This record gives sequence, structure tokens and C-alpha cells, in this order.
Amino acid sequence: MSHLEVANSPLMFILCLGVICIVAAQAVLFIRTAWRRGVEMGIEKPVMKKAMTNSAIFSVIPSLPIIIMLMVLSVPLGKYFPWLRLSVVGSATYESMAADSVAKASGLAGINDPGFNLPIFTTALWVMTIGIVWGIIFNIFFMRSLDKFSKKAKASNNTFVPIFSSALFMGMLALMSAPYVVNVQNVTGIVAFVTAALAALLCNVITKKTNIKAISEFSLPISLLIGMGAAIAYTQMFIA
Amino acid sequence: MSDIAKTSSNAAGGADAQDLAFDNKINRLGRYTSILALAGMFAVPIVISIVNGIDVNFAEVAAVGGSLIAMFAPMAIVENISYYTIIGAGGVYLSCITGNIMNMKLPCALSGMKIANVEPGSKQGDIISILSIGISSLVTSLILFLGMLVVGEFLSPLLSHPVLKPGFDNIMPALMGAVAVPMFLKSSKIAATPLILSLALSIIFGPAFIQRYQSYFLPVIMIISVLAAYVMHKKGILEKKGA
Repeated sequence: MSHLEVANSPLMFILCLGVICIVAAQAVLFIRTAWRRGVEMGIEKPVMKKAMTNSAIFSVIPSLPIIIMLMVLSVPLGKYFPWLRLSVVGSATYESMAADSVAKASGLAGINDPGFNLPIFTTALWVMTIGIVWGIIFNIFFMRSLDKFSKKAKASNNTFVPIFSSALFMGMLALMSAPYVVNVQNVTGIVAFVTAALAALLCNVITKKTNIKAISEFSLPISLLIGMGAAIAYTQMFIA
Repeated sequence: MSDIAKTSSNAAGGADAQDLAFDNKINRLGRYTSILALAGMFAVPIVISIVNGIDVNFAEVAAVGGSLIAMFAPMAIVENISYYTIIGAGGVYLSCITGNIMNMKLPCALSGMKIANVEPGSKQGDIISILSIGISSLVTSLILFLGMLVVGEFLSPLLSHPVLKPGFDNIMPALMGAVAVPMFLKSSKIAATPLILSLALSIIFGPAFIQRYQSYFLPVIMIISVLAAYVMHKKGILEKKGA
């Protein structure tokens, strides 16, 4: 049997579907638990609903490019395994890198090499799985202790706790944003960054002035689309 | 916890005990579902190898896998600890299994917290982040399921259309602009140190280098940011507003 026959077999589909069902069930269980606790804590139901609606609508946009990656990886690896990996843990970069390094270790040019066969495919399945699970393993063994330790530290402390959280958070956002702001190789990215930022600020201002709640609820997807639109417009006007 | 604080939170209906019960529940749920997901993930190569009677060359798996592990395992650990401080244990359990943290899980948790008007790292923040991340995971799964079935074939040419491509290529900068800039302005004093530092590093080493080793720079910047905030806090610079 060729590796693609195996990769596109019903067995492969069922194995992948199984994991995706586990993960979906996990999300549902967590949502239920958090919802109940939220109600108990006195967070208003409409507020929680708004956060969830916003998340659902926003998540559509960054999910779309993953479909392209799915199509790309489906050529050498069949459609089911990339579907699993991109739905669960995987990122587009990691998956193609892992599969590629297996192909190269077997003396091929890459994953699209015609010499890619069933044994190499199986090795790729193993390697791609082994390489990605470390965050999950860390969580299984250490997350509980980390959580306990951190909760204790927070309980013992005073006015600094909110500042502490905020500082960690600003540190993360700063490091994530800075490379895009100074990347003169990709001016389109800078345009997208600045426009989306302005759009988000504008959404805040409009919400305050007009009290239209929908704008603040959907400010992230709105700003994201405006930023992407600006990138397209900029490319059309100055690059293409 | 000081006695005064304890009394006040107990007055609010035994909040401490309930918090603890919830934390235990989330950690238990997180561990069990993670083990289950892990078992499912390993079932794929195991079953495929057995059914097709393939003698897996584990020496080769170890050789290739080893270099990936050396690269991704420390990164995963550092990232999990960093993310934990912002999206809480529940958020990390969920997003670690479904991935796409930077481009989806984190922004949607943050934006959820903003809508609910709660702070990252707070109890309420943790609840909102579980709700937002859970929904985001379900939406992505659904979209990829549809993409895998049929939609992908139609959607793919549209998404990679030359006119639209720059838009999709620049999702990350647009996302960061929309999420980060309003937050920076809101907490400008705390944001100043990490921001100046990150910009300087990005200019000195180049943006590509910073992005590649982001996981390693992340804890450093976060710690420096906390130290700077601590100094400002002690000196009373962060009086109420602007913090």
C-alpha cells in the first residue's frame, strides 16, 4: 500500500476524529465548569455570553489561513493527519518543519519528494507526535503545582498583585508587537499594525461617545479586518 | 493571607473554599483530558504502524525527534509558564492542546477580558479566558473540519488570491496592533520599560531573530517588566490611575 492510501484510509480518519472529539469534549467541559463558577462568582451571564460571542466571531479570521496550510500539507501527508495536527497543538510552521526533517533524514529532498513512502510516512507520524507533546506533558505534571504556588503567592500579597500581572502582560505584548513595528522589510505589516491599532482606539472612542455596545464587543474582529484591509490597499497602491 | 482579608472574603460566601474547589476541579479536568488527548495522539502512529506491519526504526525516530525535542520542549515549558500568568491554568490546559496561542487563543482571551472589564491574572479573568479560549477551540475545529471535508478546495484559491494574500499574510501585525496598542496606552507607565526594551532588541538583533527566539526572550522581558513595575510601585509612581 502506498502511504497516501494509508493516509487517506477510513482507519486514519477514525483515529484522527477520535482525538478531535476528545479535544472538543475537553473544551465543552471546561466551558461548562467555568460558566458555573462564573455565575457563582457573580459575573453576569450576558457579559460571559458577550465574551464568548466575540471569541467565536474573531476566531474565524485567523482560522482561515490554516485551511491553506491544510491543503498544502494534504498533498504529501493525506488529508486526515494534517487535519488532526492543525486542529490540535500543531502550528503550520512546526508541522511542515517536522515532516520535512524526517524526509531529509531519510535522504529525500523534502516531503514532496516522490520517494516518500509508507515507512517514512510512519516515521513522520511518530516524530511529529513526539516533538509536539511537551507542553501537554508539562501541564500534566507541573501545572497544578504552578497554579497552587502562584495562587498562594497572590493570596499572601497586597496592592502589588494587580501591578505584577499587568507588568507580565505588558512585557509579553511588548515583545510580541515590537518586531512588527520595526520590520522595515515588511512595510505592509507596519501599515497593518498601525491601522488596526488606530481602528481599535477609534472603536473605543466611538463606544464611549455613542454607547453603541456592539462596537466595543466586536472591536477586535473589526480592527483586525480593517488592518488586513489596509495591508491589501497598501499593496495594491504601492507595491503591486 | 492576613486575618482581615480572610474575614472579608469569607463574608462573601466562603469565596476561598469555592475558589479552591474550582482550582482543583480545573486542574483535575485539565490533567485527565490532557492524558486522554495525549493517548489519542499517540494512538495514531501506534495503530498505523501495527496495522500496516511496519517495523518502526525508533533509532531514526529518536535521532530526528531528538533535535525537535531539544528545540521545542524548552520552548513549550517557558511559554506555558509565561502564558499561565495571563490566561490562567484552565486557559493553558486548553490552548496547549489546541495550539495557535499567539494568533488566536491569547488575543481572544484578552479581548474577552476587556469586554467583561476584568483584569488578566484575576479570578474573573481566568473564568473569561477559559470561556473565550474554549469557544475559540471549538470554532477552529469546526472550520478545519469543514475545510478538510469540502470547503478547503473552494476556499483555498480565494484565500491565496494575490489581491487578498497581503491581508492574510499580515494577520499577526494587525492583530497585535489591535490588541496591544490600546492596552499600552491604558497602562503606559508599566508598558514603557518592556516596550522600549523590546523595540531596542528588535532594532539591534533584527525582527526575524527576535521572533525566532521569542520564547527565550519572553521570560527575560517579562521579569524585567515586573522589576521595573516593582520599583515604580515602591516609589509611588503608579498611584492608582495610569497603572
